[in-house]
Amino acid sequence: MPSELDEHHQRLYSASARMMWEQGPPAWRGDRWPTARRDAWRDLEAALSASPPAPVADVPADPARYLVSGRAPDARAVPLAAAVGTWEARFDADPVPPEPGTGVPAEGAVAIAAVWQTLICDLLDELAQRLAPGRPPCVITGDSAELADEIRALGGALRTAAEGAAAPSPAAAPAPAGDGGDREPESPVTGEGYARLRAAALAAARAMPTRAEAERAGDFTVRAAACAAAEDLSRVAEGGTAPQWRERRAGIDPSRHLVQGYRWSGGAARPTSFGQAAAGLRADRAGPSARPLDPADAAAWRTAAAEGTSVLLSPTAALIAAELLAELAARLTPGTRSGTVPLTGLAVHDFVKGRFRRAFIVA
Amino acid sequence: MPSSSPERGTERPLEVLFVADLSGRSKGMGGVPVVSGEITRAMAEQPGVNVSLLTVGDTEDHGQARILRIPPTGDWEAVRLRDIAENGTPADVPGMPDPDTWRPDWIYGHSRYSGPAAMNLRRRWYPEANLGHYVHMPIERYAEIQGRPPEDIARLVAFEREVVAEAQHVVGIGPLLTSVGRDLAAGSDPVPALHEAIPGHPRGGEALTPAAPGGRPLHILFTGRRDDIKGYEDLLAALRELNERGVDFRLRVRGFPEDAIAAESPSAAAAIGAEGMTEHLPYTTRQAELDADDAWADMKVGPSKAEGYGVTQADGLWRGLPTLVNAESGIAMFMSDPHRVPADIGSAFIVADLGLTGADRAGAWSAAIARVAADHGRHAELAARMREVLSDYSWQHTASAQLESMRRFELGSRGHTIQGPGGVLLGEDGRRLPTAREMRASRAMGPGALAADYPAGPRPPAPGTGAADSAASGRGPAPGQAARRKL
Repeated sequence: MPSELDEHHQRLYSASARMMWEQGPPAWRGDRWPTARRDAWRDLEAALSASPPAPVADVPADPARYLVSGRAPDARAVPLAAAVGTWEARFDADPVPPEPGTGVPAEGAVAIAAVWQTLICDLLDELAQRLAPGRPPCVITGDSAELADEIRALGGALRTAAEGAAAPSPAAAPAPAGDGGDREPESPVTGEGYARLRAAALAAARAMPTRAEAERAGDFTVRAAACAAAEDLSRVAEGGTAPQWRERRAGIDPSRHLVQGYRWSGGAARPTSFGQAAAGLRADRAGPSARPLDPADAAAWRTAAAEGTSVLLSPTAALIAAELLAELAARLTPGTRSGTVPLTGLAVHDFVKGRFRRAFIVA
Repeated sequence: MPSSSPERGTERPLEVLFVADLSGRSKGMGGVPVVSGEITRAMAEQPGVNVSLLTVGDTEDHGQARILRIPPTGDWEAVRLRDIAENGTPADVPGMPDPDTWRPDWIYGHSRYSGPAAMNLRRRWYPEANLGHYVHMPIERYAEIQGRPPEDIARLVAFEREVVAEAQHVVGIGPLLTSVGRDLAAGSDPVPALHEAIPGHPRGGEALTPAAPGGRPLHILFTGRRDDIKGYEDLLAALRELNERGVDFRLRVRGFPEDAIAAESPSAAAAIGAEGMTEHLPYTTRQAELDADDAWADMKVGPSKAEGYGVTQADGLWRGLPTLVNAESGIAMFMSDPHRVPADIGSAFIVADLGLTGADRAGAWSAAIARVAADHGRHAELAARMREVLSDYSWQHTASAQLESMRRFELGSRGHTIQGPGGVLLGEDGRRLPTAREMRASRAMGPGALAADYPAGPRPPAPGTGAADSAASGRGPAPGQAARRKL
């Protein structure tokens, strides 16, 4: 049973990490903020890193920290940051993204319908949102099996097309290293550690303007949502009543709904259930599919490029997309349990919103 | 036969051969063919110039330019063009005159698409011609944003570096690409003359005088696709913040593929956090639809991470729309040049996003849009003044300024020339450079004659004062007014 101190720590960790998540990097890592605020946030980042939340009990490798969809060759669990490092290394070694029509020799490519770009980006935003630092423990209880299957099918189509376009170079695909998360030692929260985190959290929250102040001053170096999260954090740290976590919209239950997408009906935003998401994905995925392109086949490239109805991915990028989709599908499998997401979850967000986005070549 | 005589320009037309795998707006293949088509057409209207265009397959009318069509194969046009340039003869091109009866004085190619072909045609068919090269893309920067490996970037750069090393004249489309051209030319011996061209008005349409939105939401227009370089997602993040702060707006996105729109609209709504604030419309080339977009808009945004020039953004400014441009773009550098654009205009429309990423970049765009929303009237006035400035930069001016730069080169000048208002040439210090005609006259009068008239060079007209026409008139007939001397 978690102690009272553990519970306090988990609440404080969530509220602190959520403030940083709402602001989003790299504000506190750059030089656009007043020095005092920047330093307070860097201190908080260090305190959060030094005092991670307890992993979920009775699960060999907590999905809040480890890849769910695969393991290292030695069967050890792969930390998320290591998985991201591997994907980045593969992109770095990716020889030539498609360069149609220039007479420059190109590797093959995968052409996808433009709507697939939207689907893939939305689904991977869901993955990033599920790995938002501070997100509290969650068990998937909703009827998610069908959605997981649909996501796997989308990834499978990408994989098939990528393998038809070109064989991935083995040298370009280093295996991720595991770190033995299966035997992760418990690192109990101490009163001293909690006090350090609390002091850092209060200093960082107080260094933020209130939302009203930011709006009055037209200060867009801070996000309004981060100002509001700072106010929540102050109350949590001072033992008051405030939520440790807020979803993007009221009513979203991460065990049963998408956390990124929602729908409007009658002017009100409503959560999207896993079943609704599966039906939408099935409908959008119908029609043109992913197909490999031969670099020598100018006619096929020209068709793909005509009026921008297609988007091109290198075979490596298509395989990485397939792996990320498989990871999301694994996380949405019924019964999946995960603990509080530590700050390291940001690595997935940064990759999905950054390097991965650049892989789409709009023809 | 071409001659290197400085006096040749007054005796017979200059023969210019443009080489382009694709040329013209109807190709629907993006900015390079559009610029190729416009420059070819406008150059062909210049007095004293005969223009030929060597391209692959059918293309649209290019005004007075003679079109020489290489019969297409199933291959890419660029590949076909390169093959003819490396292995073919003039006899392979129907209608191409025999080299004994016609030779160009200048050959121009466009970026890596047709630059290498132009280089090989000069080497193999017309070795006495001058070689010119247009720089259309910040090759290294785009490749870097796309995350290409360094050796791949080096390979792409090498294609153009080889051309530039043999070129006499390198034309950058705007200041940023001229700077790219300078980098490409570094180490060449001799260094080619650099010319900075400003693209002209890309399409028709009346000036707009956008009214203050008053009680209705601010109408924001974005033209482009879901391409990371175009900054669409940064824009959505910026608008999410404005929505959270209660700014009422409507975003129109023009140019998404039709099949993606049904999925994109709810995706954008979720990103912004509200429904009904965005509208996605399909890609179109129909003028009426594009005009309707401009008429609907209170402002336009171009949040690209990098733009070689930014023709879409310049188009908005030309129409008189308050238009926000990213800092790393040719149009922003142009607007930052106090010799050509009054400083208060540039500072109102250039978003200070240089080097910013993630939430920081979105924040800079939120702030800039909020400033326009807060004082739309002032920004509309500034946009109207910017339109005045741009009225001195038509495609005719683009061509006449480049032609002047070519003629100066033929007289031995190797300096860097910059297109100023009304097609005059400016030096890097912003002063007007003597024209080829003035240079010839001054030589005829003996050394020092020009220096006596212009001890430090003639002053450029003040930007945005409409003084460009009078400045241009000082150098002889203005473009289009001269008596045609064409044969």
